[in-house]
Amino acid sequence: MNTPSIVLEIKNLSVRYSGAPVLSDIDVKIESGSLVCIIGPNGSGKSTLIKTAIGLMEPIRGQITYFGNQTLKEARSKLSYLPQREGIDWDFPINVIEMVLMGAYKRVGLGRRLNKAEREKALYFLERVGLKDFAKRHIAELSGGQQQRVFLARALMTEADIYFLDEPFAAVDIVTEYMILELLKTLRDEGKTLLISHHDLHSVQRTADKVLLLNRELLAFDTPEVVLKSPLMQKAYGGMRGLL
Amino acid sequence: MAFFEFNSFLFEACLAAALLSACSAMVGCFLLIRRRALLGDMIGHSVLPGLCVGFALAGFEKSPLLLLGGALVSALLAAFLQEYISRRSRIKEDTSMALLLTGFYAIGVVLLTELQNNSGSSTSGLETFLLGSAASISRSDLYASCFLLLVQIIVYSLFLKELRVNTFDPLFARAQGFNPNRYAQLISALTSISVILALPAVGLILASALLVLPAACASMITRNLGPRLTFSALIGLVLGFGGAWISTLHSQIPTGPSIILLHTAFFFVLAFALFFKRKFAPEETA
Repeated sequence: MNTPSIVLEIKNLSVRYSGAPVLSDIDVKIESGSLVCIIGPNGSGKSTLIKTAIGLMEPIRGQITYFGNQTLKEARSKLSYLPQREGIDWDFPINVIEMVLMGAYKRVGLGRRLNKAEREKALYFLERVGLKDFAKRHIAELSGGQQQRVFLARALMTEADIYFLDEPFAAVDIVTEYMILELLKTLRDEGKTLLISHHDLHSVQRTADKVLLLNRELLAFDTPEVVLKSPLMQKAYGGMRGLL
Repeated sequence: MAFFEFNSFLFEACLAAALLSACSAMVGCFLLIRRRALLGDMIGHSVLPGLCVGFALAGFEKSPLLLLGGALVSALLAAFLQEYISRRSRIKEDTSMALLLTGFYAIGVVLLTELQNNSGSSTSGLETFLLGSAASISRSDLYASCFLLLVQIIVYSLFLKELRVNTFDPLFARAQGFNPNRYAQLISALTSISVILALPAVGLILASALLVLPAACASMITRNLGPRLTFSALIGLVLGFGGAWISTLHSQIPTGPSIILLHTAFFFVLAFALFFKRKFAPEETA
């Protein structure tokens, strides 16, 4: 069996936000075709790690390398990002399929129109998230879980190799959560790499290949069985663990 | 009756008013979407210091180039400062706009008073910019608004998808390799130029209404961005022409208020029509 290659290497990464350190000295290597859950309490730097890895925040120190030797700029077309749903104005004049098509904009190129093949692709990804019949609906007409699935379809539309998903399960119902999880597993089986910030420790155990436990520093990076039973969980979550 | 007498000068002025209303109407759609309706107001008020400096530089004469040049510098400076403050500080967008609107306008009023006191000459050349009049629209205004409308149509035809993603989801756009700031600056620049072109016709206080009203009407008609731009431009075009024409028939009604009142009336008629259509529409069964 081939050993999986390293698709993302983070070395000695530190990030500050408004002067205060959010992440310190993070060192981690992500293998191709793995599903990694980033866990940690609120304010532990989960979103910051994702945003810094994809270039939305500047680190004060450290190095991020993709696919062995590529910089972020060189690798960008192979990366996809699913932002948190709260940052979006859902009254924006756009329907579901147009939102999914945004994932193809960079590929299509500046000033060029989207062709029929891209539209068919968008419909295919909407079908994968179970929303093909909603293509012409306005995005405000969708439920929270459906909006999250459109977000996912847009991320898929980029046809990237590495997906960074920031809280894709926030405020979704149990059926949607199950559906998204199954889809993410399928993507992983297709050879894609996924990094997901996530708060539900039970589904983490069932889904992730690796768990990255974060609390402003990297506390653990191992299989779910090892990390979730580790005393480091107590260190990260303190007395809150019983609530989770 | 005067209405039927064709006057090519007035027709040109009305045509220019129509075209510049359409210019403001199109870019206004993006301001409303980004909840930056106040930006037009800010730019409208922030041109006053530039106008006064332009007037003084022209030797207290009405030189359109220096006046509008001064206005443009002043407007772009305010737009740039607003972007910078919002991006680099915790001050919210509407607060920074209100701050710059009042700040620039206050400087403008001080300069205007100073000019009135010291120049010994009339500042009437400037005062037309406060309320606007169809009579002060020149042929070069007609060409300029025609050119700006053409530029906007080309920009939106070519870059609608980029403007859409950068306005809708700047984080996703940046992660994809776009630069959302550049597209925000493009919209600010188009807004500034539209407001300045509208100054001679509608005046600086009402110029922002041309950005907001047609776009608000269009937003009630359609929820798609592309058709919304077209509807907004058509509404601006027709009502801009109509409003200017009414003010040429009744000399006691200034052009700016005439165009804006027509837009406001249309907004309410449309709102009522849509309200009754929804109220009495058969229930959807699907």
